[in-house]
Amino acid sequence: MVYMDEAIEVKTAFGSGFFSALARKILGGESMFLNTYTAKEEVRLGIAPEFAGDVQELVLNNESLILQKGAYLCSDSGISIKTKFGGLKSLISREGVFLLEASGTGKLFISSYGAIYKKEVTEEFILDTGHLVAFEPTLKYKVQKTGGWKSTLLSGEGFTMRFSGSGTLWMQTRVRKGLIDWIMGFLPR
Amino acid sequence: MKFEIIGKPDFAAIKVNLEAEEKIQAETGAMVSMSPNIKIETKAKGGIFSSLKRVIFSGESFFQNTFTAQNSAGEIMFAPGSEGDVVHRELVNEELILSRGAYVCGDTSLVIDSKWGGFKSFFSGEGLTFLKISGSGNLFFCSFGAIEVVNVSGDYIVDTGHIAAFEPSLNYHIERVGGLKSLFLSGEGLVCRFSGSGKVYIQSRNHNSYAMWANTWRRVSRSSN
Amino acid sequence: MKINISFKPSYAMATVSLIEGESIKSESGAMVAKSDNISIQTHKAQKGGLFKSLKSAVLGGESFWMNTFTAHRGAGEVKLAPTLPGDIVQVDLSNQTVFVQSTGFLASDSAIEIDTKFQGLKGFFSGESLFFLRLSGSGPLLISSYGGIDVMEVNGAFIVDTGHIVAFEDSLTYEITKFGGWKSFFFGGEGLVARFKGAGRVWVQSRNVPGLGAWFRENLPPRKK
Repeated sequence: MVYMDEAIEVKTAFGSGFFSALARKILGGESMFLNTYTAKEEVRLGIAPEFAGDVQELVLNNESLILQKGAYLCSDSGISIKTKFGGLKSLISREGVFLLEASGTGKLFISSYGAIYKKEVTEEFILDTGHLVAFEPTLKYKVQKTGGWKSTLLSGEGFTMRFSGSGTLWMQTRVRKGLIDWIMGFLPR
Repeated sequence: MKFEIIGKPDFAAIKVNLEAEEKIQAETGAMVSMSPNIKIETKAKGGIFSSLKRVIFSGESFFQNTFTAQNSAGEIMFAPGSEGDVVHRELVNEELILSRGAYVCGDTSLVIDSKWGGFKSFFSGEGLTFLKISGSGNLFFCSFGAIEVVNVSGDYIVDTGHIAAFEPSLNYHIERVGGLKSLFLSGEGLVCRFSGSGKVYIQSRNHNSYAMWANTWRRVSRSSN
Repeated sequence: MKINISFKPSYAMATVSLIEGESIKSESGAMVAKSDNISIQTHKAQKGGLFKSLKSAVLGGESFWMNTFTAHRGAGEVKLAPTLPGDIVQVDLSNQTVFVQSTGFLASDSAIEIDTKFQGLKGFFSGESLFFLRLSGSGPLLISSYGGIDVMEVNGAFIVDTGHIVAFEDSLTYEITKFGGWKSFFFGGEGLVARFKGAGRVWVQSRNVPGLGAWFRENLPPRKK
């Protein structure tokens, strides 16, 4: 929450499989901490994500979207958020990527570190896991190491998701670990 | 090679389309996404010593990756670690001096020299390491912040942390800004006085200041060893 | 003095054009570039005034040294930018007082006084590296933000997360409370909000400064003492 007029009721709750909520942060992969803001009259409410980057509004129409945990910003009461859902494979990733499923009918706001770039996947596509924002569940994925082990350790590329099938994927043009590495390069050793 | 810079100007990334067997060289960890037929080769280009120089002096990782589109065309997206813009420049048998961390990717025909000692200064540890890129080919470099190109004619003074790149046709000289008191208290660090004529690519954020600001938040380790 | 702000809202930079004899005062470390005939003089926050050091004067955000840039022998320009990615806004004060968060002060006309006896508005932040400056007078003031800036008109009651406040007019009263209870401490943000009352303007930034600091604290390796 950045700012709000006073006539808003804020309720805080947590639990997995929680629905009808607005949230700013998500704890771990299991439980979630959500704030629900209910307006008592017409009010201003400012919500912003943690990182420098984009915010995008998506409208879901009785459908689902898989999101990287940090990409979820907020949603209206028609959207439910689940941390565990069928078909979720656990990801081994340096980025610690955890996935959520947002489904229902209503507005969903996603955010990114960097710019959001939308890609229509029609053939096999490899994405560095840290750059994932969201994707349609029509896409299948496999986690793999980029190149061989030597490549992984030395290339700096880490783990990737190999997508197949067809559907829309949203990616971000920056990764948080990249910021750390970049900063460390300027500091005395 | 065809390319498109997306996410400009705030978080720019480069989408490259390679023809079959075409290559591009990129900084470690810069790959965002790629087609499955792209082969990544990790090796110390130019022999072990030139890579060592790269890591010690420039903060660039030891290994540069070479990406090749095998058998058919392929696409790769690259992004730098810094927040800001990306500039494309096609070098035509010329040189460009880049700041540490500004190099993103480029044609394998370009030569990267991290031993460039153009800035002679007895103030060390100021992050004054720069790379020299020479030859012909496509070069992509990044900035921290927005890029403003200044065509220098006459004397112009730029804080060294705000230099993304410049043409070595310029005369350049490192100075303290103001008097001695100014150096340590002004926060300005070292500046570069450019003269003659040529382009300077100024970035609107200072990577040294930002790193120092981030540094003040770090935990102090009480290592009992 | 003419001030031109470019590269809004993410990496804004102010280009200040000074006529001969004119000056502008800025936070230390703000200079990007300048013409040769601009002099830089480093001094304490309030020239000639009683310097009452705030404990965190040299920690984190601002150091309490300022630079005054003056044009000699003709007109000249100086480019200024803050440390963090974000916006710059020019606020023209007309014999008014504003409170500016320490990382938010970029530059001001020399006629604007910075109250060095001011104790920094206790309670807004739990640590000591962020505090508020009290500025009064007339003339242009440049404030900078982490993220984009929104000017909010308060008329009644308005609640703002303290990490998102850039500046506010002294016509407003405020009360600091915790938001969200104990759970707020998990998220790096302070969990503190200011409840403003009265009529006046609050400049809000779209990203959270103590939140960024906390993230750096979490994710940067610890440093040796």
